[in-house]
Amino acid sequence: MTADLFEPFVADLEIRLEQFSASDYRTILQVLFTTLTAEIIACQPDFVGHVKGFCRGQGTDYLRVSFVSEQTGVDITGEWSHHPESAELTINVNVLGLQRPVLEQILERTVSQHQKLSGTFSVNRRSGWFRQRNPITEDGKFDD
Amino acid sequence: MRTVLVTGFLGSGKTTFLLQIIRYLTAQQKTFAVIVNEIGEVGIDNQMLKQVGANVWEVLGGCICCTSATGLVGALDEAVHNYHPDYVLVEPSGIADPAKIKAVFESRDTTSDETLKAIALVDSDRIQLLIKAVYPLLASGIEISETVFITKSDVASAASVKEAEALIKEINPTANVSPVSLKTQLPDSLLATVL
Repeated sequence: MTADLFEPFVADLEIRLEQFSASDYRTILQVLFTTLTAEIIACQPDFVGHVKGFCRGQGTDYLRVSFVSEQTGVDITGEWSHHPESAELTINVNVLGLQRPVLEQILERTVSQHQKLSGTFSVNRRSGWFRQRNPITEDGKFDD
Repeated sequence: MRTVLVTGFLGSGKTTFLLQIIRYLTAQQKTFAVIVNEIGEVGIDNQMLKQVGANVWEVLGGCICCTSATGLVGALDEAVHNYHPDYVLVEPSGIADPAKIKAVFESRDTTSDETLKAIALVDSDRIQLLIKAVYPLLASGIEISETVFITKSDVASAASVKEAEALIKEINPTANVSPVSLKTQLPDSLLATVL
């Protein structure tokens, strides 16, 4: 197995809350990743490597999200004691057997669903949304 | 100076384990640098390790076993020469080949007091899937490691843990093997032994 068999991509998002408690960030990430990973699995990838997220808060606050299988589900760790108006979220998806455009559509759809349904928080694209790894060429170098 | 290479497939618990090592070394008042490798151009683990205050060198956008091997050497040299830590902790991407990373270490010009210790993490909850899908990577990590932790032993079935144990013993009969759950901090006595 080599790196080029995976279709990894990264999404940079911004979560914005108003008048919520600090614990809501944890709940939102739980719901967002549960939906996202369910959508990914519904598309029947050959292999789910790791779907993970990092949400940076104020000071040393952070939440790390991890998903490797349906059995263990979405796991969230970290400390989140402050209540910032917004937080940066990076999502990293490593699965085998789904093309990158499919993964992008899944994420796009998941984020859009949450914004429509909730109305209590928004998830916005930051600049650099879907920053993609360049494909590896046959000589092992990155192709620009 | 000791370099600790923590290997394991995607999602096996490498970053969580690294956090435990960081807590332990901090309590022991040891200095350390961390080198994190991720295949994506934007990392997740490096962000978290920085957030907890670690000195982090990032090698992003490729595997340090192949396309980013020079990035690993550069990061190691920089960490060693500029920071002089007691430990350098290396977390490769989950799809890197551990044996190739070890070869990269061995190809470096190092001082005599630099040693390498490899620790492999094996996800017992997905052991059958991993054997089927990524056996060469799994075996490579186990082969080069003095210590192998069977992770997620709290959620995996007893049969899966047993299967992982048997696989490890078959590949590396001399390895120290321990089933662990990384949800709680490992005992200092255990970390002192493996580091």
